[in-house]
Amino acid sequence: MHTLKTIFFVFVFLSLGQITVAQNELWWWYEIHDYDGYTPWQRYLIQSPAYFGPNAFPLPQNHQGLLTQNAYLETALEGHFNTHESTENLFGRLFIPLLKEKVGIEVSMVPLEVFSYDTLIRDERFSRNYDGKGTASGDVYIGTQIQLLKNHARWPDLLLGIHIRTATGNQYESARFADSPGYFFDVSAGKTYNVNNRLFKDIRVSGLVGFYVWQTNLAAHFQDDAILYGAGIQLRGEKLLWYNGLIGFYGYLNNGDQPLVLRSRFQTQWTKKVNLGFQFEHGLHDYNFRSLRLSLIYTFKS
Amino acid sequence: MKKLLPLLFFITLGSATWAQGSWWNEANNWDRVTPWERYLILSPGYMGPNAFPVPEILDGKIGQILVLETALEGHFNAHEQTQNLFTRLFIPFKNKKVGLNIFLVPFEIFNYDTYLRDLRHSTDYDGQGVSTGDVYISTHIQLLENKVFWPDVLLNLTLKTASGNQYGAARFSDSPGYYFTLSFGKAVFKTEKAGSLRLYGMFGFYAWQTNQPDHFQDNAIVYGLGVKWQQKHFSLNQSLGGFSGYLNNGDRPSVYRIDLESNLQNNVNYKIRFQYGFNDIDYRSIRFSILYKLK
Repeated sequence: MHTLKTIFFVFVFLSLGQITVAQNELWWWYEIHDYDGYTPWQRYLIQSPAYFGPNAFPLPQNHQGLLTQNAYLETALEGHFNTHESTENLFGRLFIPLLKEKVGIEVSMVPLEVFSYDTLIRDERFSRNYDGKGTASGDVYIGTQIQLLKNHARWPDLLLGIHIRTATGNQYESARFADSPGYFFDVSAGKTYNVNNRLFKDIRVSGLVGFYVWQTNLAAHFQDDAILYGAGIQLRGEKLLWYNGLIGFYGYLNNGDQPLVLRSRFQTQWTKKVNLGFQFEHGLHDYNFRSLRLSLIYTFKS
Repeated sequence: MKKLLPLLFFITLGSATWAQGSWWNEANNWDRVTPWERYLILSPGYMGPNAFPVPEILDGKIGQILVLETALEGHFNAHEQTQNLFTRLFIPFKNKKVGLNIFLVPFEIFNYDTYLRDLRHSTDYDGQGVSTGDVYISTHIQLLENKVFWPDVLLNLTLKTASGNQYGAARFSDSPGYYFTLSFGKAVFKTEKAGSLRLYGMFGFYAWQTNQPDHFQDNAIVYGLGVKWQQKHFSLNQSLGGFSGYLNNGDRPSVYRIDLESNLQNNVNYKIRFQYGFNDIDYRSIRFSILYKLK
């Protein structure tokens, strides 16, 4: 009788244990990452471009030292791919000149992305999204651009950018957006040289330097600070712009925070109102994606 | 004897290591796991007076002149006194519709007692020192101006950098943030002799990083109301404003401000401000400013 009682209790406890494990849907995450039992799971994620989705820390645009003259709205479809992940997203950018050819404001965001990654990426990024699939919406970037110098005989055009990165993105647990504010300042310089050959009218050589800061939430270094850099060449034809350049930033933590991409962009100049853009990006370091962007650019009347 | 020597050495070393932070560990009941940085509460109620200043209550109208403001400021309560420099540069662009406003506390001297030290989980044993503050960069955009029925409307986009130091002494929060505000203002009374009376209000959104895992950011509603009397040679400005965070951990400061500013026809003007802090910013503050018109 006594033995039966013991067996009964053991059975009850074993069943209870089973139920508890089944209830905790994230047991796999604790096992894989050898959870220490006290560190909040949020602290396992590494806040750097290499350990987040392709839209979490996008590389800024090289404005080539020149403020756009007219207001425009760019809407785009974009895809980022590697062997282990594919992400498709919408992209929107609105530019409003506040003082013609002197000051402007630029707002951009990824309103929606659809992502899918395998278990290798999932575990490398400490993601808690078991099947690695879902949708997310991104951070809003707000930038003020100020033309410092333009059309100088010797000096290149200079454009200062002051940008805020909001923490509006979601799906932090899936390592899609960093849930941390940031900011970057950049100065881009560019100079145009006339070539006037059969294919192109002129060539514009540009460079960019800046400073990028974002929050890491780590006790030992709350922020990551990075040097922003880039260079590019743009060829302008009758109906087409073709830009090629490198852009990257170099964080001091060296935890996947040194992305570098090669960017190539075509943009039509068919009409004064509606144009198309096509951009290809090849990630060279800490940004392992091949990306395509197809844009519709609507320019407003000045 | 040979065995006793290493034992004595290790005991001495252990004592020395413990002694390094022992007062803080005891005062804050340290759990020996959590880094000390996480004990500090990133809110105005638990940091120095310059860590989370209440945004300026703007009156719906953009500044018209390039101006550099340099000021001496003091913040006082029963447990603390802080004296600091304050610097602000406003750059209006040509059309007077857009401007850039940059301000910072380049230097502060602080002194607080053990009560505040332990309340704020500060690691500064004697509660005395100097620090430098965060830089704020704002873009002001005039959305509406001089309409018959509508008030003037000004949009303000401000970025708070994380450039301040002395986080351990709970002086600056070492966290970036941003706030967006819309301010409205209209002159309700205007005569040649009595000057003009302007009523204004402001609301907006403030976000800053807390570094806490369950809520990385604190989000707050910014609000304010004010009245400005502009005379030929001076202006008197009174405002009441603050922000209200959702965490309710000392993140709901509000202040009353009264400013008296000269309006002389030369390149130098003077301003005196008194600020009374309520709720989560328990200071009485005074600021003497010199405003240089640069252009």
